[in-house]
Amino acid sequence: MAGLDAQLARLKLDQRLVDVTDDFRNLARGMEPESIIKAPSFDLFEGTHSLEIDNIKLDSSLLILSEQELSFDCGKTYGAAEEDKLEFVTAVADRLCRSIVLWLNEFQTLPTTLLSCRYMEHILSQYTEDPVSDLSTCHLETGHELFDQVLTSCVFGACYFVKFVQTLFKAGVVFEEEDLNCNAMGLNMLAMVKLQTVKSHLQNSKHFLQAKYPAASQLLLIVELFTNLIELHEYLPSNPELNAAPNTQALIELVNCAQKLKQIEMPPRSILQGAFSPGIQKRLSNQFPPREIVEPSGNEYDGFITIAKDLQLVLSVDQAKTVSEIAQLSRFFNRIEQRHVVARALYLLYLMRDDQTVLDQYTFNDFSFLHLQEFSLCDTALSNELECESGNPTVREKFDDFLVEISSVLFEWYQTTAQNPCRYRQGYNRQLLLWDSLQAQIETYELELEGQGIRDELDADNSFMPLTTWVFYMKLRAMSDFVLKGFKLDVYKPWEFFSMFWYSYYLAQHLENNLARVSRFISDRITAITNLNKKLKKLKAGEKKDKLRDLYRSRMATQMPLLVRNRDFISYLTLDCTVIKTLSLAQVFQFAMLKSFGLIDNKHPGSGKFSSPEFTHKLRFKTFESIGVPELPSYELFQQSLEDFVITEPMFGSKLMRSFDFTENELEKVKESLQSIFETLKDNESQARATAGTQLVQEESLAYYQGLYRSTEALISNGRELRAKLGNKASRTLIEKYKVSVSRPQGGCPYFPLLSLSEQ
Amino acid sequence: MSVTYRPLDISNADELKHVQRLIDADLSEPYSVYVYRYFLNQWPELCYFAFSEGEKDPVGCVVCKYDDHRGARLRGYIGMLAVAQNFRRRGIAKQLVAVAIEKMQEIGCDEVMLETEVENTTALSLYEGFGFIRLKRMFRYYLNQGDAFKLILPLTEKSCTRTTFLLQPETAFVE
Repeated sequence: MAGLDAQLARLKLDQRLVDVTDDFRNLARGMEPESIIKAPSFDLFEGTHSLEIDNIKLDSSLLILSEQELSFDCGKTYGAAEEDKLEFVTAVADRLCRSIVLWLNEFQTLPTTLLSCRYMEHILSQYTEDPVSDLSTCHLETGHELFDQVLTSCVFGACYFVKFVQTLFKAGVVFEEEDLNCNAMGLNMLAMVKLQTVKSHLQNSKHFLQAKYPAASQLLLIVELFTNLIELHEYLPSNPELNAAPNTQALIELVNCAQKLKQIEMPPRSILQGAFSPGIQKRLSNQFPPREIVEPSGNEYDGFITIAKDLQLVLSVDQAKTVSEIAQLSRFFNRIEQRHVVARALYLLYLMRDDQTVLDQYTFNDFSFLHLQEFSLCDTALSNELECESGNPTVREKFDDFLVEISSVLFEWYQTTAQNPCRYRQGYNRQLLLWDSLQAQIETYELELEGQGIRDELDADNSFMPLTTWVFYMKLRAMSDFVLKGFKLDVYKPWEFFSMFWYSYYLAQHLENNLARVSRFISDRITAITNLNKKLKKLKAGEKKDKLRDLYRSRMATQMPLLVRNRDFISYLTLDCTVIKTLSLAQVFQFAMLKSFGLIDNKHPGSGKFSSPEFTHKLRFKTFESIGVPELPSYELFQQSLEDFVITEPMFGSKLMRSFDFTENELEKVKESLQSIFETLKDNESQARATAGTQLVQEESLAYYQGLYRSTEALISNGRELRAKLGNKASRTLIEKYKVSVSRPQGGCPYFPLLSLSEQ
Repeated sequence: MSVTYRPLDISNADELKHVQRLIDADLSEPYSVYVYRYFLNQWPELCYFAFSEGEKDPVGCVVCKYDDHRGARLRGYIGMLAVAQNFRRRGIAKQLVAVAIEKMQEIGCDEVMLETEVENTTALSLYEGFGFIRLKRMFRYYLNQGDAFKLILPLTEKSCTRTTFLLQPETAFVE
């Protein structure tokens, strides 16, 4: 009630208002405590998003501003002498730059960073009131050009950059309040203004400083930084010039400016004299709880270097020569280290354009077709049928329909790769159903094709089914990534390690088999083409030989290069798969060794009273429960598998030693596989393009595999440590001495945390 | 010192204030009165207080709800849990959670869900002790920028089946 009284006291009643205070009090007195007055259509849940007046934690109108903040005036100059004015303007412009980084790199809000600047609020309020494209309604009127021209330019630059980020955000790749806070408090971020207008303004400021303020080198650098920053707008797919290769000069310049600016000491806060304050949260529409403004720490210019480098990486997708290279860039660019939110948001927009093309080079259907072609479709009966002019039009039609379906799931896959690590995993959870359903449909289509004689034999009993094979490969990869990313995000407790690694091993086994089928098919096709040459040599000159020669040459020119490339790519994928398979198996072994001594169990230690170990297991595997192929093993099979791995008497000691030896040998082989992958990745130096398709993400892909290498070494040394601590005799007393804990080897792959033994 | 537990009495205006006092003192997220009203007015039977012998006011509370989850299962939800500073490490939070889950089980919930901060190892350990598992991690979920885990305790088999496959065909089509 005290709060209500205070509110009422603040209200000024005049002739247009009627005082209902007494009526209100009388009615309120008769209410039951549980009563709520609301419209029947109003769901109380909507109310949970409301703010609360007079609640200090929720009402930003209760913020207390300092005298300096209250008296700050955008129409006045600050600083007595000319050099003081320059110092003030430079400090404000510097803080604007730092605020951009705090907003984006530190995941802060606009009102606590950029919009806490009084000049931003002032100029944007003017523009919101009268949004004209030439910015003639927005200005400072101090009568001093450092303020009215240069500071205004910096504000325009900052606003225009926010507008660019807002545009990216609307594409839906990144999420509000999670990846980015775009709440602009109802202010219009120069929506109607063209890039050229802001560029010219900044250009004028640059010339002005060069002519009149030769000592203003820091401010000049800031103006240049803003000029480069707004140029990023050019990378938006709506830009008609974008079909040319992106001009990354602005990014190079941005890095240069940031490098120089980071050498200069941050001006003390006192110079700013209230120019940055939380006051906007009081004055403008605010749907959020009050927050303190965020103070820079001093290393903000490094943030611009991060933005520029990450943008350079995603824009390099333009240089991809094959779709495998695009897919590999997507697989690795955001895998180990989360890329900058701006780069992640731009990536998908830049790759898949509004005009339904990929990089302005392929239609979505062509793009999907090339995914198939660069994996399993090349030189198959179906691809020959599709290429043949007299081919069955119904086959083509239905194939095109599937390309549309594939494009839509592929779009999801590409989108997922650009998301934050948590969404990344969730994206796979959603995708699995899509891949699974697509696999079922496409398999039916391929069986129909086989009925029409369009069939590739793998052997006497099995057909190849190139489309199903590719979808299955994509699905297995998504399943495996979903499982392993759970380790990275610390989603699994130690008791779950056996189930998750055993399942990862199971998936890798299926993937390995699938890749072996593709490899075999491709080798057969290569042999078939090579054999044409042998046949050719045996034939006598004549029409038959000429025809065969033409066929041989044509296949050597068109199919052979792709088949060879696909064969090499599959070899690399097989190595990649073997590494994951063996590391998962090693984890399974180490878990089983610990269980053999009673040091760990695979049942939830707390699931007894309200749930059951079976329910918790089934909940964990809910994602995979409905997947047709590979079928989710039953709960009983998981249990049985663990029992099979656990070491029991008789001959406990020798069985245990054999397990240790086997695991270590297998891990040594993983190191060899990884060495081969390193060679493949480094092929870039000797070959035109890397066989792994990692040309554009060499550093990132190497870092990923180096992480796996370190994890392999860590698993080996963990195995040796377990061997030393456990001994070779069955014992149930070690539990009194040791406990199992999770450790993450430094520089190791986050998918493979270790189960280590430490003293109780 | 004995501790007793009982559900909230929604007809007593002071009880809302007790919940507010206990929760506001403890949680980083600022809740408006509407949030409290949302829970307490709709599911008063799922808000429990802990009273310590000799104390006039409650020393702990748990605030929960349950509702239909996408037409497929009944999901209980633990929204808030707090125990006054001086009464911690006495098993009060554990008992509050236990009585809430028992009630949700009695109502027929198929599962119980909650979110907790990744860094809050005490809360994680408490809930995992009841059989909750971490279903997913949510990026920068809280105002303090911390990630959260979504935890679920399966009470029935229904909790272990994807929603899509629990729905009747016509319902699934509409969704």
